[in-house]
Amino acid sequence: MSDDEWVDEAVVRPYALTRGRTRSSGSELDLLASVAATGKPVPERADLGVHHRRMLAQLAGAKRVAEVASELGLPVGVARVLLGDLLDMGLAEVRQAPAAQSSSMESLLREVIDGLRAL
Amino acid sequence: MASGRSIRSKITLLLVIPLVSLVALWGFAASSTTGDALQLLKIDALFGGVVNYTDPLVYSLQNERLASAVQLSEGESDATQLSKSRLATDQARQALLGSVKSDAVQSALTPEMRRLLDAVLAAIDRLPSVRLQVDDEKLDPAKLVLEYAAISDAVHRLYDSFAIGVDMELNRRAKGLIAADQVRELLSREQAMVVAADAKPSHFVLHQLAKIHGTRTWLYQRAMGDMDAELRKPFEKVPFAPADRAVTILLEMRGELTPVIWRASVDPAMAEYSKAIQTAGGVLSARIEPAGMTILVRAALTGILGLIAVLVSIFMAIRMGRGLTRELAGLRGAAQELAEVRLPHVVQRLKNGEQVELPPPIPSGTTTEIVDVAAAFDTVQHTAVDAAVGQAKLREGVADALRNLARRTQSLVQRQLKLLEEMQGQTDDPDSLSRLFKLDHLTTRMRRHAEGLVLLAGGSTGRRWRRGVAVEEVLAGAAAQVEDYTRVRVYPMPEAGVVGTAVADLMHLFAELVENATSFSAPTNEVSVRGEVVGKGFAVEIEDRGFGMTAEERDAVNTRMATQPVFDPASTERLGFAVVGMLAARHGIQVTLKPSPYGGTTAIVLLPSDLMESAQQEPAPLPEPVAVAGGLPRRTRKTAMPLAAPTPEPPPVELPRRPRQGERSPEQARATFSALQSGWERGRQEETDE
Repeated sequence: MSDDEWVDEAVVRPYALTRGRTRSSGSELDLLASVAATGKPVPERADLGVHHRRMLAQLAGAKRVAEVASELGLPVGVARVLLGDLLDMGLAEVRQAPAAQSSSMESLLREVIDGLRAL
Repeated sequence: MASGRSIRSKITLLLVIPLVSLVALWGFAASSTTGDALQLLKIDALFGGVVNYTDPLVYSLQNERLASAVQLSEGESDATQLSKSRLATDQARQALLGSVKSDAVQSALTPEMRRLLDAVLAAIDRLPSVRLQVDDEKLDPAKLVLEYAAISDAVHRLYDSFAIGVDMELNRRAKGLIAADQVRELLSREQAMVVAADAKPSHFVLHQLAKIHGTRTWLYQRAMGDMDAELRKPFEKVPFAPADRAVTILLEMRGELTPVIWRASVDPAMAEYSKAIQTAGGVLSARIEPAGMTILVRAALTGILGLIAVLVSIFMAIRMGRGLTRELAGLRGAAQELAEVRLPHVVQRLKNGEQVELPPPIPSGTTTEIVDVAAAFDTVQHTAVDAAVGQAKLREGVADALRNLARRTQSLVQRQLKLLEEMQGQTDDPDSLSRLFKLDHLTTRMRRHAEGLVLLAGGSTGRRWRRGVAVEEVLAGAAAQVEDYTRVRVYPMPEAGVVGTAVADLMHLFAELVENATSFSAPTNEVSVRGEVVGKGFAVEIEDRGFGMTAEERDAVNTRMATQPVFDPASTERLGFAVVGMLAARHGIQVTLKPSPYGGTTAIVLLPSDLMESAQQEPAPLPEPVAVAGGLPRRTRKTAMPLAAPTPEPPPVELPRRPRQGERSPEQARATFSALQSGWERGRQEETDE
């Protein structure tokens, strides 16, 4: 067993974070949608897990969905559901539709360039 | 062993019965021989105290009678002779009176003897009146003889009641001697009667003389018949012939006799007869003495030797009986200790995987059978210990095999989970994500079962965290490992961390308890998990609203969890609780099941303070990813990568990060990639739409 040791893996499996849900109640969030906390007080009896609270903490400033997912180390699908929960409770809001909503080739290309640069 | 009597009492009984009989036999033999000896002592006392005084009395009475006869005769009388003989008689009488009063004589006398002795004394008491009549010369010869004869007859009757001893032959000889003594008395009467009659007896006197003479000659034959040759010998010398001739002359009245001729004919016979009796008496007492000695020696031997034999028997019996009892008791004690203490102890130690040395052999005794039994017990002990060692080895082997197999499964499952995580990160389609989730859930449960096996077989989970993890998260992770995880609700709880080294074990422990809670409650009921800081650490409460357990079941589970379990392939019931007990014991955790107010069961887990880390600093709003931020599990080698994460912005995360080129962490890169990918896809989509 000496060579088989697994260190620091995720404590909670992703499916458990969403209780198996893969869709949020509201409309599907775009990955590039920018979200931010509304700053409302968290209701006393809100059913918020650790990860909800961590996510809320992340959203002090506006962030994109993909960003939030990667920072919390969550699959995007999971992050979407959790964010959806926060939106439902009014603890977070979508700040700005993604620029690509009314797509222009230019912005798309800029994104591609940005992406490539990021690599 | 409980029924029946102890071997001690049986051995005692076995020994007591023959011993009692032996003692009784000895007592009988001793009493009969000492009875003889006592009888002998009595005879001795009678002879010493009575016969020794009556004999001289009879002699002196005969002398006095003769002197009285002389006094009554018409010839010259010798007053001094008479008074001398009277004095001698009185002395003999005084001596007898003094002697018969002694205790020795009194105790030796039987009632009959006493009566006869009293008769003797009464006869003697008549003596003074007889003497008065003699002095007054009022007695005729026959009367004189009869007066004195009363005393000696009484004495001889007393003699007849004496037994000489236990020897029949001696008794007969003694009787002969007594008869011979009576013969002398009769002879003395003849002598005195004729003297008193001045050798000219009247018809009456003659008639008396004839009776006495007839009795004497008849009695003499009898006395000689009772004696043997040696005793008879002295009597052969007695010159009876002149005396008998003189008597015949008188009786047949063939001529005249003078007193002088009478005395000359009778006196020698009288004197010789007295000597003969003395000689015969000496011979007889010389014979009685050795016979008495024999009896005494026999009594002493029977008494002393018998007593010694009895004592030796008792001593040996007690010694051997006690020895045997002690040996048996020792054997029993050793066997009981072996069965109840030593063997269970050895087996328990072997079960716990400890080294044992063979217990020392059972102490044995000196009896062959007991030594054999002790040896047999030793063999049993060896065999039992060998069997236990074999069992322990087998158990160890089974445990090793199980652990290896489970570890391999765990390893594969772990890889599968990693793969699933990658796939989950890459998919954007909720449906396929949902299927991946299901797959992930199944795999996670598989991993838990494999982990349970490893733990049961004595291994460790193999998963570890290098930093503390929040209890709430650990509980959420545990809940995720059970089938019905959606029914489990982990309520918000105070921030508290569990030390990294205990996270995997605790998660498994909670998972088993949550699994139990879900399986014992209806599919619609919630299983609630709550936690709070308590005085001794942190308490977690897992409560179901199911049907509950019976008190016995709960007690059984509580006991099972409270005792340090050892891997035992034989007991397969409630393996989950066995694992809980094992983990609880390992970390000093207290787990208790109790009935819940909702009807189900509440498991209360008390984590000790030393498993807890101080709660993470800021409570609600967590800063940048903490603790488990490194979402994906990484498989690392022990020499975990050294990581100088050059990224400046995220707070120092100690997770190993692969040093990628530039300043981006893999996560950032991935996020960027997905962004890129989604943008690209959208672009293509729009393109096709147009």
